[in-house]
Amino acid sequence: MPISWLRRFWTPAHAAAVVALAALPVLLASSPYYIFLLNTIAVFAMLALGLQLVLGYGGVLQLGYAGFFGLGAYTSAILSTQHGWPFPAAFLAAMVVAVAGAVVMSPIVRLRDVNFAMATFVFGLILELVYNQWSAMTNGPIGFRGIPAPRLFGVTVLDPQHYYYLLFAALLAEYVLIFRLLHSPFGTALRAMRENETACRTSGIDVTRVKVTLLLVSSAIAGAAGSLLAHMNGFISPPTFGWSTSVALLMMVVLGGVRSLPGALVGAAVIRLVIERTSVLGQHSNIVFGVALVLFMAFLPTGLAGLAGGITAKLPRPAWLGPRSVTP
Amino acid sequence: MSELLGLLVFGLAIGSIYSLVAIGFSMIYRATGLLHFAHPDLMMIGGMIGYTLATRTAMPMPLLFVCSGLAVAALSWLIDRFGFRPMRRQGALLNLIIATIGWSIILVNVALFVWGTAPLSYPEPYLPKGRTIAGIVIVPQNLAMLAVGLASMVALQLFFARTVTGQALRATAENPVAAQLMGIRVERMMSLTFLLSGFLAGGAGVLVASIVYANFDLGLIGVKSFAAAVLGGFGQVGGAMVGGLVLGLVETIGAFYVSSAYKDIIAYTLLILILLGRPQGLLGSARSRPD
Repeated sequence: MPISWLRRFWTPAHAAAVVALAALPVLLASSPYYIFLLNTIAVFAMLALGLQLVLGYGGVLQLGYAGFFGLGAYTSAILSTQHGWPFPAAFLAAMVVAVAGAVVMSPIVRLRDVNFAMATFVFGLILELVYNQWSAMTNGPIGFRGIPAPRLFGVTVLDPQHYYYLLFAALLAEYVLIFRLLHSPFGTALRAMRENETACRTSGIDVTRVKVTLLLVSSAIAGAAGSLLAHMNGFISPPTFGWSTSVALLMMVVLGGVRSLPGALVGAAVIRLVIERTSVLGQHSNIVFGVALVLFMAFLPTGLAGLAGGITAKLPRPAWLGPRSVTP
Repeated sequence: MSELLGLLVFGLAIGSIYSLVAIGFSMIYRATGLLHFAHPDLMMIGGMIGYTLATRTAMPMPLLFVCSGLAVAALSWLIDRFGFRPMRRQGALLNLIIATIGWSIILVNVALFVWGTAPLSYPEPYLPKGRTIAGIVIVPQNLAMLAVGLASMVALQLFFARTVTGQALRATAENPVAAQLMGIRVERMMSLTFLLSGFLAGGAGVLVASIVYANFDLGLIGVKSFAAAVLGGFGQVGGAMVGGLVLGLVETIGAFYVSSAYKDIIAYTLLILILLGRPQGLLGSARSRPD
């Protein structure tokens, strides 16, 4: 009898991480800047997890992910500032629109490797252009200001510390969802597809359907993250949803470790901190990313998770930690 | 009518730039399977080097084309030799593609560091000037660009068809393993591919920077050469040439008659439609590329 996915999820490491992440804003309460940083990291962690699902587990190079992030942010911003939609409705609409965008893009799953990567890259460019050019709808390069703080159950979530718990809940829900997916037949199909697509097809797995599902699920996640970002900052503009963000997200997955969920979270935190810290260096800060991408791909393609896994595999494992969890 | 003629010339001139970059892009893809995201940025570096040479030495345009091309060829070779070749042995294509994105970021930031953020205009003698001949505005620069572009393409075709090295290159692109068994030094051919494509990108950079401006984000124009390569059936040199010219025309005419704000969107949408409808490209036969 296979162990249920929930039993697998509640490992001591996961439980400790959940408690620690829930306690973080209390520990950092003294500095509003740290809380702001923490919230930003949480939004990007959502995106990095979503991209980990597509790129890491699916082996599908989605290079336009930030565009879908933008679809969510713009939908939420437009509906709440111009049509007075309440937050929950705008949030759901953001996810729906992002999924609709993925449906429009979905015919490209027929394409193989390089052509697929090219198509996603170009799709991202088109979305970025739309955000910049379709001024009547998106306000062009100026973007949106004054996006209201969300109101939930009659309470306005204004305090960044409270907002963190909203993000935390979303992130945890997403993590559990992806964990669940990976420990289901779908996860097995993903693994088979990654290893050998042709063999996978001949075994009767509908690869096209698996890929479309991946795109739709990850886009819904990006849409949700976009909506949460818009309502958090109250301000959005096109550069946040362009190629540079797609690259930053790619970095998060690669640095954290391809096919590692905790890796994506760590990657998101590290990259956001690097972006914040190097902004003092001015306009050349991005070169750090370029060099890091090249070096990681050349010397440590498994990322930080691979490094950590290599170290812990050598250490003796205490009995009370139970058997090592296996992710497909 | 004269308006349309001007548009045609301009479209073809821009298109020949796309072609030059797209050819290199296709050659690299054919030889190594790599989607080289830093290739448009090599074109940008070419435009920048051209600017520096033009302001310091005032050398004539053809010489500028060659010098800048050589410099970028060397750079392209270095990136392959020390960036990609060690990774090729590991054989993870996805990782290599991600590494090219890293190189793209590095090149852009090096350009920012060396040349600054402001768009740089080439000195006066290099700038395009319109002349009216019999009521038609002719920009000699555009004609020259078209000529240089076409001449490079013809030279390339001859090189691929008539020389032993050219045939070895084609064989390597067709099937690296078989080529190696036939005694072709595959790694050397790949180096040559990067050199040649770097040269074309560097030259194209000078052409485009002289009519627009030289700036770190010039690579964005080069990105459209991806579209040209796809249009031509990804990986076919002849197709990339035609693809570039077609894209230049469609985009220029589309910008004039439809909307200039949306001209990039037109080009990109076309690219996706072509990928979906005719992955073998405009010229390719349906059987030439199974995917």
